[in-house]
Amino acid sequence: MQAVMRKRSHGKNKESWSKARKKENLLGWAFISVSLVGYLLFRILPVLMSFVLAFCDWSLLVPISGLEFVGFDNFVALWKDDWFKASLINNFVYTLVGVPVTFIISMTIATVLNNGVYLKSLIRFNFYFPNVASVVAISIVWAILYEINNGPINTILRSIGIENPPGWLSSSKWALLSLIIIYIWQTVGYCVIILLAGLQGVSPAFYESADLDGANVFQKFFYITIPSMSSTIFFILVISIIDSFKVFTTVNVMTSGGPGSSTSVLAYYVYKVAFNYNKIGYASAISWVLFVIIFVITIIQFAHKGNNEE
Amino acid sequence: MKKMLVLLLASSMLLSVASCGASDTTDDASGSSSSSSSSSDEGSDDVEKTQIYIHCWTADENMEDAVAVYNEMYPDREAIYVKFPDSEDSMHVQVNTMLASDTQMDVLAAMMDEAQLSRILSGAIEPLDEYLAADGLDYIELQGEDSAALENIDGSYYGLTYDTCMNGFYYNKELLAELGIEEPTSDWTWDDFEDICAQISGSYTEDGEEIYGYVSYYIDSWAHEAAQLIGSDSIYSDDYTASNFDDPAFATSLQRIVDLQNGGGAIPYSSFPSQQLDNNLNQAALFFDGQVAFIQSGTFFTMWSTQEQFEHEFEMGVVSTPKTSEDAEITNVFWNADWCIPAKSEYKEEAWDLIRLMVIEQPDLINCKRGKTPAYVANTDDEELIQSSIDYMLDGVNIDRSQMETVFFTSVNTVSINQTTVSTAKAEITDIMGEEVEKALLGEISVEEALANMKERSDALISAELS
Repeated sequence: MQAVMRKRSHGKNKESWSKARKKENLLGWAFISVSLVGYLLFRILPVLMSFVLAFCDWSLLVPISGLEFVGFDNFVALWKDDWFKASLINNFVYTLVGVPVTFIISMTIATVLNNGVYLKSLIRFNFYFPNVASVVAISIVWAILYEINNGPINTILRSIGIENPPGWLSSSKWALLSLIIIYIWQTVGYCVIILLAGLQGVSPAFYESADLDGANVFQKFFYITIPSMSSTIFFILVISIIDSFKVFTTVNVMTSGGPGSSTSVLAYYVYKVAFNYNKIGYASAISWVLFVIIFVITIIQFAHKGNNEE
Repeated sequence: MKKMLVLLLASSMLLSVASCGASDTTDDASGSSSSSSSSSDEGSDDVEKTQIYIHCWTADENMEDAVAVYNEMYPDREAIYVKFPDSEDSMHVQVNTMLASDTQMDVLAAMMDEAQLSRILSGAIEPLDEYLAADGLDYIELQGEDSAALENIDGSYYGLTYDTCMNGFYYNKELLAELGIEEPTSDWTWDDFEDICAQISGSYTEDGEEIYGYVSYYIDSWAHEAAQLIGSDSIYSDDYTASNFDDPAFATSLQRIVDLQNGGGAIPYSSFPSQQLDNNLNQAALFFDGQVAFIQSGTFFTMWSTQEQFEHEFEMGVVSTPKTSEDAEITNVFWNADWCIPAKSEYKEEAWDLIRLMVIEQPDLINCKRGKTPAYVANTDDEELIQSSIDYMLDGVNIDRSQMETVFFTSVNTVSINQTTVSTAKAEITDIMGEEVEKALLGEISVEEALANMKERSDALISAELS
């Protein structure tokens, strides 16, 4: 009898628990409903619309009824478009140079800071500061630093005997590198903070064991530090690559894609095509190519991480 | 208690969402919000007024007089001015998005450039022919032949030009005198100009800054000489099916700028990014600082010269754009700024009344205050109106008045370069010109290579668009 009673009360408890859970869920949905509606309206809907637009020919100035379906024409046209190809290549160069260099510099600084230096907080603040400063203001200051004739950088280079210093923003050969340098300078601080947190999570016991085994600094770094920080490094690389593909402000403020198209990147080209040339459909197609590139790279990174963990 | 709190929070969120959607208001660019029909603030509280929104890039205070006069003329209406950005890129983006988003725009200022052509060809701008005919106005008579030719799109006029901005070459009289260089006259040639700039080259200010003969945003101005030689629409072939960059006039024009720069007569293009010299105000700052002897600008430069940021002591002179040769006629480069009516406006008649007021009935209301030659005044023989306009414009300006009259109020040939009557791949061609000229100015490619690239790339775009 007691067992039946217990079962019944257990059943009642379960029922009321499930009701409470349902209520809680509903309440949760009610609370997020406003931001969810906003998210769907201002994030998901535009993404879906841009997907549809990528297959259409449409100008912002024409009513939506004037939308013309063109199939894959926009995607086909991309591969004949020299500006698109130049922007794509520039984007890859920007990422392939910027991200690894940023990572190496950040890792070096984080390791040094982790091993105890004076004024650690001040140094950390100094490295992080560019990350919170206005990109527009930064761009203007860097444009002055890069001045070809009397700019501080070239003045220093001349003073140490380099007679023909780089043309920086005024040279097709150097302009992209100039922007990459700014990207590195701006991003290093953020990466240092994240990597430092990762380094502090590595157990000192590993290093002590390695010391007993007679491992040198490099062995400890490559066989203990790097593997122990794989999640942090993975996070940094994913975020950096996505960020580097999204570069826009420095290009828009400092070079407008020039000289020639030497610093044009996909995000800037999307803006130009959409709003200067009024080709919203074509701009949407470029945006989707940019998305697919970032998506594929991220998937590869995830797959690679999965393999490593196995 | 907990339930009450939850209820309260949920209700407040719902209320805030509901209030966002319920308001029947139109936000203006300044962030304020007002309904499209409202009561007057003063006096006649019960009178419903029709609100007319006028959008332009000029500062609020420049529009105050026109708005006040219009509101006084039509007590049942209220003109409201909304300023949008004055940088070219931002301006186009904002105007196009406002047009696309059904923002109330009844009167819109627009340069007659490729962006405006796109708007016209997309049907976003109302043709003004009926309004002109109803008021018995003849466009050519009002605006002059050159301007009317630029404004005529497939037989219709879509904007009434309030500012035909002719370019003059302003110069620093004191600087030329110090360097022992004779002042130019309006019949000078591009060769004379190059010689003068060469003489200035190698001079320094008291502060040790190098002095140059000339500064301009070469990316925009490099083809002025070509336009003088070929005429308006010079970048397209006669049948508009190809570009015209193989015309020798373009080689002459680009070579001129490259030589000026390489010879030290003009500020090198490589200095532009760091000094932000694509901005006219920064170029003007160099001129008023005495670091540049000549600068190319419209009559509004006189207004700039009175601004505190450009404080200076020297007297300015002004001459026409140099001639292409001694035998050639004086030809000034111009561009038009228009008032137009967006096709979606619900108050077109009221908008037209405002445009007519600003362009024809009281052309000095806005233009002279901004130091601009009213288009209507530039094409009238009314000497009294001309003199009063000049008086208004030159109040407090240290410039040779007779030169101003000669350059801006004497009838000469005019030619448009950056504004064209066709828009086939125009925005893209403008970018191509910029890229190739930039590379030529930086010495990365020759003038011939730049023009060959321009021709090849532009022709490909034109034929793609036409097909």
